[in-house]
Amino acid sequence: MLESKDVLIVDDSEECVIYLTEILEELGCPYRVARNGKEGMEAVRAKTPDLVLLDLMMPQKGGIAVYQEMKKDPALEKVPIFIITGASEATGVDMISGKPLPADTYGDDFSRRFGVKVHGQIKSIAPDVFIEKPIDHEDVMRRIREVLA
Amino acid sequence: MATGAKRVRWRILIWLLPLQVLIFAGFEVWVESRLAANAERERPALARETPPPLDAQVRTVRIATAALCAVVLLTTAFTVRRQLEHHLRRPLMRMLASAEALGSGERQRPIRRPRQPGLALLADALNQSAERIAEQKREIKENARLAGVGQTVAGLSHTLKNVLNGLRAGQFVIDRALKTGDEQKLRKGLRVTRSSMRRIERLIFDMLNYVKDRDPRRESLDPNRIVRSVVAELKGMAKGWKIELRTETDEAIGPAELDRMEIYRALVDLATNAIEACTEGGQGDLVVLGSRGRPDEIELSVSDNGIGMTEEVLASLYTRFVSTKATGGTGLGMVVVKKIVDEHGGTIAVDSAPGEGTTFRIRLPRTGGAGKTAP
Repeated sequence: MLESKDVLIVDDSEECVIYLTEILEELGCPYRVARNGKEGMEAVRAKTPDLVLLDLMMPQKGGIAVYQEMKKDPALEKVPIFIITGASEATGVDMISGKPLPADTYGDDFSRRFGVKVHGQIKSIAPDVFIEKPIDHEDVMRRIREVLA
Repeated sequence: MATGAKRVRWRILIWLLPLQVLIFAGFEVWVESRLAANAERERPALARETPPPLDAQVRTVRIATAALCAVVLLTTAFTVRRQLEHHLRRPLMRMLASAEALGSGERQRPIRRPRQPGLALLADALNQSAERIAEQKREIKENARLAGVGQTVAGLSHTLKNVLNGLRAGQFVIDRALKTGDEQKLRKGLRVTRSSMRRIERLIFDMLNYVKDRDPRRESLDPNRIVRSVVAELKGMAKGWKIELRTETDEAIGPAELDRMEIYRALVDLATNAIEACTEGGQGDLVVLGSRGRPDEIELSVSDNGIGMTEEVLASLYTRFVSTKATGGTGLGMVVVKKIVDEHGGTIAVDSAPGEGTTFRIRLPRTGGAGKTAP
């Protein structure tokens, strides 16, 4: 069932890419890998994937920018995205600056769930699925099966 | 004691002044009356002579008295001024200086209470305000400390989560390899696990370096020697990635007083980052370690033509526990590099553009500042 699907991994971390590719191999699901946001967008535009596994902090182009760009594009907005990050829901710490999030952004659903300060434009967007590091492979496999079923 | 005796003398003088004026006035009246009496008595006997007219004598006495009165008044004015100065202006100026020192945080001791009741009240009020300010300062410091602890814990847990993610990844790969008997996969799993363990080791080392607070152990040395030992250390790594590691040193750089181990560590960190920046984008092939001598300082630089940094990455360059390395950093490497440069009284500057490369320039004073110059 999953053999015909196409999953795109957008992550710069070597370990994370190995982990995710192993998970997808275990599921018997074909995949592609992009090492940063820029490559990720190119890969998405080259061929629309069935699912994107997206890291937030990457060189070249961050995950938030990729998320925004995909959600703005009518051809890509329906593609499910799993966001993978080490930021905890509970920390409320800005991953970019390391400082605690100000109360107004903290109250915002997106920033609270991502632990990332969001600059105005993408407020009130709820992420499709939020996966926190360290990844629980059984949980991720279950979620992937649900989305691609 | 001496000032007390002086103060008493001035006070007596002030109280005696009106008395002196009265004595001078009385003396003048007495002299005038004596002159008048003498004139009456001696007029027949001295009729042939021409005695000085009475009016002239009286005028002389009056001028002398007026002059004396003027002197007394001037002395009084001077004394009053001295007293005012002593009793009001000086204590006020002292209090003003103390209040300013308290406000700027230089002074910790309370303001001395002057003897004058009004000024004493003012001093009390100032001291109370100072105490309140000190209390608030302590509260702010404590809050900042707690916030710092919170940030450190949050940052550390973020790094540890990433390390744990690597360990889980390794374990998952090993499990699958054992199931299928795939030896190559087993090696891959072990490599991931080992890399995570190395990261923990580096994290501990970086953390210890980060919290260690000490003055650099300076010794006069040739900075190019440090550059050469860094190149010797990283030659193998660079070769493995097919990256050229080149030096462009200023042979006339001259000696500088540096902590050999610390500067070596900072340069190894920067050069390792530079090599990794070349491998990450797959586009870079050159890392250059340079040195330059200036009259009072030396400059050490590390350049690469690798992946470069975005403004976002640059903004969090020296932020604890933020790493953008693909191989996973501890998020403390650059923080420790900056700490080492700061401890040497130097500066670090970075020039970077995505896709073009990065150059770090460290400027260090040749000596450890006044009193620490080389013999």
